[in-house]
Amino acid sequence: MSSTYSKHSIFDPEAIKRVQEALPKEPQGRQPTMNYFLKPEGRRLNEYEQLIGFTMQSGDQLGGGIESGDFQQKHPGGRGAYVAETTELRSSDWWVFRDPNKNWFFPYVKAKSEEGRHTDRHLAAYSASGDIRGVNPEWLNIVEGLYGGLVFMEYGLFNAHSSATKDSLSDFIKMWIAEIGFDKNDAAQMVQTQRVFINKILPSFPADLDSAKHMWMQLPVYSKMRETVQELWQGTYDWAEIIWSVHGVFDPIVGQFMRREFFSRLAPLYGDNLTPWIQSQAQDYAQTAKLGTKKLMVDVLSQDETFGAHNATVVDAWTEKWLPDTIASLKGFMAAYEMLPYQVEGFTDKKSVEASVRLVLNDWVTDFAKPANYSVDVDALVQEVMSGYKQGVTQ
Amino acid sequence: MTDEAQAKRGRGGLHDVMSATRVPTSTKPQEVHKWLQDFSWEFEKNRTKYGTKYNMANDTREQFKLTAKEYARMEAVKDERQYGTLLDGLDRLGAAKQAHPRWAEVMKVFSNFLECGEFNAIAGSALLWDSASSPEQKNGYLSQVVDEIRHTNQAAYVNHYYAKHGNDPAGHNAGRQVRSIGPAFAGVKRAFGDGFNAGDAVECSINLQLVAEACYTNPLIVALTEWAAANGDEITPTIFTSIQTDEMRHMANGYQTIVSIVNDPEASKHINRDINSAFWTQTKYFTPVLGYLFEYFSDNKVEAWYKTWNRWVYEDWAGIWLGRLSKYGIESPPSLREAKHEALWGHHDVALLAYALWPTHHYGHSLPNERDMAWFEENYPGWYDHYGVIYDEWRELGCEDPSSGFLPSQWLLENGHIPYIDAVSGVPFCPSLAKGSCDLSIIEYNGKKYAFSDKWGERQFLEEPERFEAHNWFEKFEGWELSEMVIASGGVRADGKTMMAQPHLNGGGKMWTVEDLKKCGMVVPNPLGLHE
Repeated sequence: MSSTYSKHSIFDPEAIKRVQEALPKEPQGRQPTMNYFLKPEGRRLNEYEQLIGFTMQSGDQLGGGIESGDFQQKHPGGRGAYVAETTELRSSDWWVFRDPNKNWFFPYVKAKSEEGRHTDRHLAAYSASGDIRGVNPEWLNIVEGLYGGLVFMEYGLFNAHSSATKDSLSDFIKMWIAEIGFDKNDAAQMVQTQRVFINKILPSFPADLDSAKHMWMQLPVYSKMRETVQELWQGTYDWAEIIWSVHGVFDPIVGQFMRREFFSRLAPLYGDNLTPWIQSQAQDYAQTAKLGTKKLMVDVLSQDETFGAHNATVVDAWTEKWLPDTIASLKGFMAAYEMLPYQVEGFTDKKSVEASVRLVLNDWVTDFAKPANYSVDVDALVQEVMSGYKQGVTQ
Repeated sequence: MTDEAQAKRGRGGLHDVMSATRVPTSTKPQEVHKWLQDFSWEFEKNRTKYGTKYNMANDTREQFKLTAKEYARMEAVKDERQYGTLLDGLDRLGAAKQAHPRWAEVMKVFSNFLECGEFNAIAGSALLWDSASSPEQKNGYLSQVVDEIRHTNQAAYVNHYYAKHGNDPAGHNAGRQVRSIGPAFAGVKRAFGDGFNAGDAVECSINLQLVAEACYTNPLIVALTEWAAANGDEITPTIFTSIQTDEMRHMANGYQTIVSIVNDPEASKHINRDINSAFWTQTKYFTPVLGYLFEYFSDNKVEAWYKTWNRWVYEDWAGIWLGRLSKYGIESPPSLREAKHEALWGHHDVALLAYALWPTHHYGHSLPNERDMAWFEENYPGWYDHYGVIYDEWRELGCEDPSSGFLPSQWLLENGHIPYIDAVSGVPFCPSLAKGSCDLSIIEYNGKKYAFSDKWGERQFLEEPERFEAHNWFEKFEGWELSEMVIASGGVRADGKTMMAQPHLNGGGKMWTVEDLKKCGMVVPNPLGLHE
């Protein structure tokens, strides 16, 4: 006898009858919460925790894992897919960390989609309004070259997240790292989006990246930064070190300074309100990454009941390792002030720039160094950075 | 010209900003994407952190050219539609309670196991993102990384939704915990887990994109939606058809992986061997397990599994998809003929063993009823005389009745039917009961014995034994009494004693408790110990 059936049996009276006959007369269970065995971060498991916690398999060799047994197929040589050797850090429970934004896929992509739509509307309004006519033409050359260097900085930092995504040791951590990496990719693409847009409304402005790449590859303003980004991208194998060095040291100092103190703050002085608008998104992404990084490295891993002291020592060592190159990168970038169309008192003079550097470094101390018990002489760092400053021409 | 002067001057000199047009415009994603190849730069250390025997060309382009924002826009629309349907329309229709109980059980395992694959594909795609040097190729893999987060969350959502709204939450709510004692999970960890990201990047791409996604997601995701709807489940099609809309881009990624390596003459030494290895890795698990889950957990059966297999695997993938790649020297895998034969009986062999080990699952089973048996016999002549007689005997001996003290697993051992675990695939097999092909061989390596059910897996082991040295299910749980395993894994319902797993889905029938199981006194043996 062949089975005849309706494509959608919920509309088939025969099928409905068969289902009703087969259904249990009494409720079969009283636990409607998925993942109820996971310890919630708050009072109750939220949707993010239910959907993600303990997705990762073969975690019995990882603290906090509920899996039993080994990996069924390993890398040539015998290394498993997700193993403790991929980082110096240790944890009695890798499943304690939660993304502060609780970003499972839908809320994450919904927010980014809204940002994309808002960008479209803003660019349409900007172009219709003719706002570019108020921009200093020499500043546009900065956008062409120096600002274009941000494409490469963000792109290099984005790529550092590939191995960190592959190797990270819990589902919560892995998805968060992939998302903040995707954000860096987005930040790089948004700089180019802006440049392509300007080319559309002002064809003399080149959309290509030739000038920007020349600056990135050849000029002293970016040479140390480029070397540091290259090391962060391809020279670092420990996935936790990648996250700390990028989001706990380099980007909160160099990235923050470039995006906020230099480009966003100075662009309006030269008639450009578009650059700060574009950079506000990158700033939002950087803040997301900062929050999660501090939570993972400082609040969770450095406070681990068994390995906290060890982890704090390692994080301290990583800070010690990456801070000099970070400061040297920012020092190199100080040459950018000489390239400005003209200097503006209160913004680009030495005293004002020093105040900006101090602000960024003090914030970094508050957000990362102090919580990680890392001692630093801010005055000395400021002095070091400012030794690269050269004042440009006054108006 | 000094650096600062160069910066001020730009290439074009000073721009005439007053000449800018006031026509409203924005940027299209393609206008940005076309510059992606220029985002990267050469430096000495710019190479992958993971070893590969292939060279991926650094000018490979991607087929679907998405920027991050365009990706987000496209996927947000899909998710709004999908979750909107679930949380509005299907909620109001009480759709989760319309699924046939058997089908609701099978989604405890289908969705949870698919979730395993999707999660490991995050890492697998990241491995490829790291290994590619072309920015466009990296971009394509990166989109897949984020897609796989989407799919992981979607597969989880099926269980989350059924736990909240369905008739029986047990198992939907605890799959990630209880599956660790299930003998079926090891195989999915290998094929749909480690196989995607623990290895050479191109080998992983072949496993993930060229075989699993281009071949097996068709029956696993596409055909499954038809089976689901035929069995009263409209939740799964709502989610799974949405998952599948992304798979086309993943297949394109797999295609581009091949494109990126074929110009290297060395690639031809490895590629067809790796394809055969990947095909066998996937088929060894999915050919029997998908057929078992479709045919034994449905009330309405869409078509015989071997027909589905033939259409999707043999004709569509091996014929058409690999045919398109033949211009790159890609050949049909030599193990394909054996796989085709396995599609006929392999899943029936697995079904028998799975039922016998019913206490170790996180879902309930039911014996084939008369309607099922008639269908099986019609589509697989000879089925009853081999399998049906055994199910009938188990029924007679009271396998559904908790007071019977009877477990089919004990029947297997008492009747000399020794099950083993294939060391490479993790799939259980029983040579004395198998109607499909099953050539038991046992190899000793590093002081330990390993069992194999076919020559392809044995060959994979002998070539790289260190990749497959892992405890199998019997070795992990040797000496454990079954009820201890169930309790340790959390496989009991909210009352703390009724098991999640059951050998029947008779709504009015008595359910097994851990005490009932304990009375049977079944202790896990180590079959390889018989070969000392």
